[in-house]
Amino acid sequence: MTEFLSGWRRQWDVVTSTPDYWMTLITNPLLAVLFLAIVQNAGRDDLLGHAVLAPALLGMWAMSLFISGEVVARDRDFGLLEASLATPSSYGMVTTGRIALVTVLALLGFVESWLTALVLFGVAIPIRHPLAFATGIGLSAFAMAGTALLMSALFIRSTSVRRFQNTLSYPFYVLGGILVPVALLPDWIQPFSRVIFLSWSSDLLRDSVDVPPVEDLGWRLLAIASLGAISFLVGRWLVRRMEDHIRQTGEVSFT
Amino acid sequence: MGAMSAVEVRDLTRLYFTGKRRRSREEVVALDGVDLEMVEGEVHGLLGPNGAGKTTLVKILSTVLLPTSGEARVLGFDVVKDTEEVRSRVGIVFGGERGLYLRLTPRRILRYWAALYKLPDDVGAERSEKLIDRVGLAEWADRRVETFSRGMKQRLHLARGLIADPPVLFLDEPTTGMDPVSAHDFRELIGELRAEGRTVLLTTHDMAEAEAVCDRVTLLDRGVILGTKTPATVAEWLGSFERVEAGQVPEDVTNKIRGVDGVTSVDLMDGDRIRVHTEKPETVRSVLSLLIDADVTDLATSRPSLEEVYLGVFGRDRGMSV
Repeated sequence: MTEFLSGWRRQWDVVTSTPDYWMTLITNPLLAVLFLAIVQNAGRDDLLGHAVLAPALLGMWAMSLFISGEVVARDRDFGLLEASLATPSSYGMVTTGRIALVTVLALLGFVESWLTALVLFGVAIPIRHPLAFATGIGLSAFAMAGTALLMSALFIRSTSVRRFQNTLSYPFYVLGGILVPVALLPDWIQPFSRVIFLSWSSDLLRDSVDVPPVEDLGWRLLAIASLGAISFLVGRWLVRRMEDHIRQTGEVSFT
Repeated sequence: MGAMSAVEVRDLTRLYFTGKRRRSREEVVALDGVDLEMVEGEVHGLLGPNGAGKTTLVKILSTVLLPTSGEARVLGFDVVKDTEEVRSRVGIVFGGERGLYLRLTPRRILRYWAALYKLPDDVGAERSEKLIDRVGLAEWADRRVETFSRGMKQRLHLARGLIADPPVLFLDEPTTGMDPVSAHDFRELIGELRAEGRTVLLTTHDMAEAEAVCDRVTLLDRGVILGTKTPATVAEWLGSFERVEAGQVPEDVTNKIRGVDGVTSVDLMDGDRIRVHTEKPETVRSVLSLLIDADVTDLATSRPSLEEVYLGVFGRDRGMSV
């Protein structure tokens, strides 16, 4: 736990000293305005809740991809990786703490979006199923952190992290059902969407602000938790494998 | 009863493999059957040119690299099996600009490393303040490292290496790229570490540095230990292999210099300049006398490079291929 907290505090120091890292949260209200304006002008006030959730989910994915995803790669680039591995702390646990901090900060996007709707559009979006919403958000954050750990361990394989990040942004907004619900995507694409936790999260969160009762809540939460746990375990395994690789070869990347 | 061993290295070999494909990859020997012993409280120099294997040895001793064969122990703990014990007792300082997150302040950086060494918060905070003060960064404790000079960054590196109060410290080319004043100050800090009873392994390719701060100096070249010497021997080499450079030297004087006992070679350089290589301490004086008698006033002496000393002392053994 100490190692987790060390990573958490370290990342807070890094984030607070790096203005670029706040860009997603700074631009999030603008995206919210865009989605809300489209929905409102189309006369679909029933979708205002969905318009609030979309930019927050986009922001969460973007922060995980662009900040958490490059945690290990930046340690490598700054020449910190080997020195970190030479300490008695578990690098994987410290990294998990760093990623968790970013994930929690990303959740501010939900508050921003909701406030944007209230302040600029005069709409207080009701959370009609608070239990489903709260558990959905909590498990989505866990799954996001797991996925970020996996990405951060994968990105160390590349000399061009930016290429991976760009590749994994827009396609995942679609596959994750953030922009368009997965049920509205072509049939052939849906199986691919369902192995991405975001598709379950975005559907569940949308349902939790809609009027009809949330169906199959347990199974859907289980799907998010399972996909998050798998990502987390694979990510931890890859970080350990990276440590072994460095010790065996002396190379700080797989390339 | 003699002092206890802080570092013991027995028949240590490390191979690297170049190339990705198994069939085409080549084997590079970084360390070849290295034996080394350091007693507690010793400042031990590991002297060698680039590619000698110094950093490889430091990485193995600090547990971030596995040896291919052989054994290494730090304070009795095996660097392969007892990694946690070794890591908590060893501090590492790498040279150069890298190894610091530039946007953070020294205070934040040291607090983080204190946490990585599992120090309680209050201990980490107290030790960070003391170290910042000790390495002369108190005034800059809350400024971003990106504004620091190389010497300041290196002092911060040292503070980071000391944050866990380790009994053993590995300094890997810590003065590389430092200006002479900063390097001098850094060497004084190493003297303080010795006075505190810490064991220090200092890798360097600077003979003057090794001679100035070390109790013993081990010479490493292409992964092989050439021998362990006293600083006095290194100082003697520095004097023995001194060079003389002179301009506007008449040809007959150059020929006379070639015949002086202890002159190993005379290089003819651009224009009418010559560079005289020597191998005995008294030879430089004879050469200077000849030049002054010939009214040559454009004169300079310089210390030999490590390669020149290696060639002079170990030339035949190392195949004369510096």
